[in-house]
Order: sequence, then structure tokens, then C-alpha cells
Amino acid sequence: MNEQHIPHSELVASADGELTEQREAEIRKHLAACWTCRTQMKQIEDTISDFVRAHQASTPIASAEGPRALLRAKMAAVPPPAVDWRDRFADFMLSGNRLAYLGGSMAAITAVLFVVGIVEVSHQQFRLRPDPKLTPGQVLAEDRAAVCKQTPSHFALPHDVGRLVFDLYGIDKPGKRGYELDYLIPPELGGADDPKNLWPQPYLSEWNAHLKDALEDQLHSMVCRDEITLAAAQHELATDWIAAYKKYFRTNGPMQRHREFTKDSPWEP
Amino acid sequence: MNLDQADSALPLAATGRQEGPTSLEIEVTQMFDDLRAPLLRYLGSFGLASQDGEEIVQEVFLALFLHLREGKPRTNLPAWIFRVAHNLGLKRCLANRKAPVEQVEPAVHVDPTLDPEQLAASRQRRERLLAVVRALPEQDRRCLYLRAEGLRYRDITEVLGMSLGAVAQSVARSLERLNRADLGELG
Repeated sequence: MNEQHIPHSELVASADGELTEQREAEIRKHLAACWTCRTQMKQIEDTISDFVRAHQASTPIASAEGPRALLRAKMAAVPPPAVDWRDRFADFMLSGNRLAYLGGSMAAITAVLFVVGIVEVSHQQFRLRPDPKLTPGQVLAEDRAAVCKQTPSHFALPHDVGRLVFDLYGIDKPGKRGYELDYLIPPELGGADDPKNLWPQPYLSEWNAHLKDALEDQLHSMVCRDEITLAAAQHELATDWIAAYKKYFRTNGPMQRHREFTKDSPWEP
Repeated sequence: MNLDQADSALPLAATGRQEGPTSLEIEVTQMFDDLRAPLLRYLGSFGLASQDGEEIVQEVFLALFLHLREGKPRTNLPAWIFRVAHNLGLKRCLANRKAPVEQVEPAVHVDPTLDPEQLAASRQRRERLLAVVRALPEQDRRCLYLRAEGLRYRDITEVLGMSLGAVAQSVARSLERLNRADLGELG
């Protein structure tokens, strides 16, 4: 029998696997013989599991889906490395409690973090075409038959996906009825539910969301009448929808009859 | 799939990025999936709102992406990630002009398998434990939360800038207090 009990702190370190192998072996041997220390070890394990359960239950975690999509879009929007501010930035991020005294520079840091993804697009509030870096267009379906079974209609998107797209375009407060969250290539032409295929399209411009909705409808009809290929329709929309509008409606400007054309609903912030 | 794969003869808008996620983006996303919940819980212990926590986690993984893309060290990335989150969490607390020690009273999640008596006992026990944790010194509390999220003592030294011995003492001290509370000697 071993008279010398193991101190509580050493039992904790043992439970955490933080001791040397030699000491670990000695403790195992002692625990095999000593019920008092084993009881204490059991209490330590019980306390740990009770605490972990209480801690985890006290912080409910929302679904990762939206945040994951946001992160992926932000990473995709970072241009190739060329500048040297990232070195300074990473060092700064790691400078420990020094940061605690730099509260005033918070806005500057945040700006640096998102400079590539957001500042670059901060003047895009009323852009007529999407930013090809953020919204290059993405397709899900290439099968004409499947696409032609669908009628053009409004597809509801999760709100957090919408907020993500507005964030990426640097639009903080989209306001009511100012924008349509537009599929660059609409689902009825095989477009994907992906931020890379979505952009905030303004209503308050000459070339606006009503006209693009009319074009999408027209292209869907033409694809299904076999007048153009699905791939060509997808390509035209992804490249320059205004040029496509002019081409397929044989016009140089917006047509009066399309000014009120509505397929998708305005984005509700 | 991407459009250019659908029809390579018709390239998309000239400047658009055509390929899918890079292997680095996939790797960072996997780490995000593994560590988002632990980081959110740790940041929650600063008393930050969940929205603040989500924003900080985004900043952390974007910084990780840049860090790795620059070819910087890959040693012990979880500790690096928690360290950046810790620093950003402190900054956010300051920006919110809120003492980081203050904690939001957690919502109660009910286990449906318990009867009312068990439920009351379980809730009491949980509240007692969390009350003891809230009363711990700040450094001890942080050590305990980091350990609960799976960081080893060596990792914790890197996040909090403490010595290995200090971390070991801190964890043992906190568990002793929790243990006493669990046995009903406190609270």
C-alpha cells in the first residue's frame, strides 16, 4: 500500500495527459492500489464532464451554412498576393495584449481586413452589370430538357445569403424596394443558388432589374424553342446582359413595355 | 460547376475567377467547420453577442487564409487561431466599451428526457457550476474555457502568454473550485 496520496493538481495534470510517461506510470500504479485517490480522480472527471455539458448548453450555436458561405465568398474575392501589408497585418494580429490598447485603430484594422473584398466595390451601389470577380456566374444545370420543364418564376433565397451578397458589394443599407437580389443566370436557365451567381441589381437606373427579368424570360423561351443553345444563353447573361438585351430584343435602348415587367420581387432588407 | 467548364469555347467575362475553390480555400473551410463552434463559445465567454462572435470568426479565418497563402508557419494552427480570436475578442470588447468579464446569462436548454424534479436538480447544478466559473479570476476562467475547447496546456500558453506551470496551476485551481461546488460545499 502506498501511503503518499497524489496531490489534486497532479491528478488533474494526469487526467489531461500532461505528465511525463514515467510519472504517469507511477500514478497509474498508485491509483490501482488507492481507492481514495481513485475516488478523487473520478470526481475530477465528473466535474470536467459536468462543466463541459453546462458550458456547451449555455452557448447555442447557429447553423454554420451561412457563415461558411460568407467565408468562402470572401476568400474567393481576395485577389492574388502582390502587396506587403499582409505581413504587417499578420504580425499586428499576433501582437498580444498590445492590441487591447489600440481600440481607436479598430476601424482601421477592419478596413485593412476587408480592403480587398469590400472597399474595391464600395462604389458599386448603382452598377448596371455585376462585378465579374464577385459574380462571374455559376451554373447548376446544362440539360435543356430539364430547364424547359421549369417556368420562369420567383425563387426565394435564404435571407442570410442575400445579406452576404449585399455585404460583398459593400451595400450596407439596401433600403426597401431599391434592389432585386438577382440571379445573373436565373434558375430557369440552369443558374446556381450560389453567391457567385447573385448580385444586387438596382431598380433605380435606366438599365434596371425589370429589363433583365424580361430578357431572362425571352431567353428561356428561345432556348426552349431551340432558337439558341442553353450554353449560349448562359454565356450571354454572364458576359454582358445589357448587350444581350439589345441583341435579342433588337433594340438600342430599354423598351417601354419592359419598364414594369416583374418576375422577381424586390429585396426586402 | 462553373460556366467555363460547361462550354470552354465561350469564356466568361474576362476578369472573373473561373475555377472552383482552391485547395487552400478548402483547407481553411475545413478548419472553419472544426473550430467555429469552439471559437464562438470561447468568444461568448467574453460576453460578446453572437453576431460579434460570428464577425470575429470570419476575420480570424480570413486572416488564416492570408497567413497560409503567404507561406507562413503552419505549426500549431489551432493555437494560432485561438490567439488571433482572443486578441480580436479583447479589441471588440474595448470597442463596445464593455468589460470583457461580464457574461450574458445563458438561455436554458431543457433535456426532454428529465422529469420535473430531475430537471430542477440538473438546472440548479448547471447554474451552480456556471456561477462558480463566472466568479473565477479572469485568467483562470480563460484557461478553463480554452481547455474545455480542446486546447492542450502548451496551446493555452501560446494564446494567453502564460507559462506552462501557470496554466497547469490555473486549471487545477479552477477544477478544485468547481469540484467543491459540485459537492455542495459552495453556493
